[in-house]
Amino acid sequence: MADPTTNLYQGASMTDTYDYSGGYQNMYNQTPGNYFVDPYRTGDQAAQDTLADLYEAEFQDYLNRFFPVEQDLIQQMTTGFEGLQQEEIGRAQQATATQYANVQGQQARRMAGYGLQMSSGYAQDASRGETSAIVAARNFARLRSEERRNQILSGGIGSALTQKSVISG
Amino acid sequence: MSGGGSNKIKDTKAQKALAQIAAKRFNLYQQYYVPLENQFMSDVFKMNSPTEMENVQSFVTALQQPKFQKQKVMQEQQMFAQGADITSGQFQDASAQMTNAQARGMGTGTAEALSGQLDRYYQGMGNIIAMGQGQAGQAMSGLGDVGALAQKRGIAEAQSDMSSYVNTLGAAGTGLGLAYGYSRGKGGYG
Repeated sequence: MADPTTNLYQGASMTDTYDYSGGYQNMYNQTPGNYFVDPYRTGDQAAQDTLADLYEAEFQDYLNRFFPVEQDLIQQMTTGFEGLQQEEIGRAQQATATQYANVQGQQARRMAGYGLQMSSGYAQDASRGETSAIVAARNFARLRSEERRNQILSGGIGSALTQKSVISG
Repeated sequence: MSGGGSNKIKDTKAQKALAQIAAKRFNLYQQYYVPLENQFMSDVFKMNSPTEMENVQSFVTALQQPKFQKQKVMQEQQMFAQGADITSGQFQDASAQMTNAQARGMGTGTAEALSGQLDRYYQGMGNIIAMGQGQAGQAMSGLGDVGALAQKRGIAEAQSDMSSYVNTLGAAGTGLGLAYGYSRGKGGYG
């Protein structure tokens, strides 16, 4: 049966697939496709049946699109946390080392422009400076990731999950 | 149920109409909003990708570099103006110290930005979950906020590095014109 105003139900059937862009599907393996509800049920209990369909479709949509993301976030904050934290720390270290290398190179070229070479004392100083900066960056990244995790665990996902299972689930 | 259906409560016309409208609204949401939501989700998922992290790194470097470069040139000019000998250990020490301060500032600044980008990613994840609950999401930081914070941190680190150097010079009494040049603005040992 077609809706004369929007022609919606007929045009967009339950089997319609939606093209998720940006690798969305690969990420969480969601089934493509939207959930549609038949607004034209007939019979004495048409309203109740339609509402039942709606609840079901809503929940299926949540299970398909959002629940995998919640699961992933939980994993990231629990069993996966250590690995991710190491990644973040490693990235901070790498970034600091890269900047040191760049700036050091610039300085060498600058000195060469004056016809000067970097002294060995300078190289030692630079390497000490780099070590200290790397330690600082690593500590910073460690603290930051822990702080972030606390925020996520206390405010973010905890309450959201209970709400889902109690009310809409 | 077995009573032939006559004891079932029939839905009223109004109830049927409301249910129909609810179903249509839901279908409209599925058709028009779900693609938008999915777009947002894939944008968020990409935020912690290696490519995106590299982008953040170059973004912050591009922000910081000119600032430090300018400062360096200014300080060198100041030293020259005060007759510093370019081949002297003092000039080179000062120059090395500045380089170190710059590298430290840029390094820690970049680390800050990378963690800031992760914050953005998790803010996005939080918003996706809120979306799934039918709740309103929170505002997310832009990359510009991350850059500004990184720069602030980088400069603060570089400055504390620089000023500790100036203080050491002053204490050792070897600062001469150089230390004078640095500390003048702070009312130091000129």
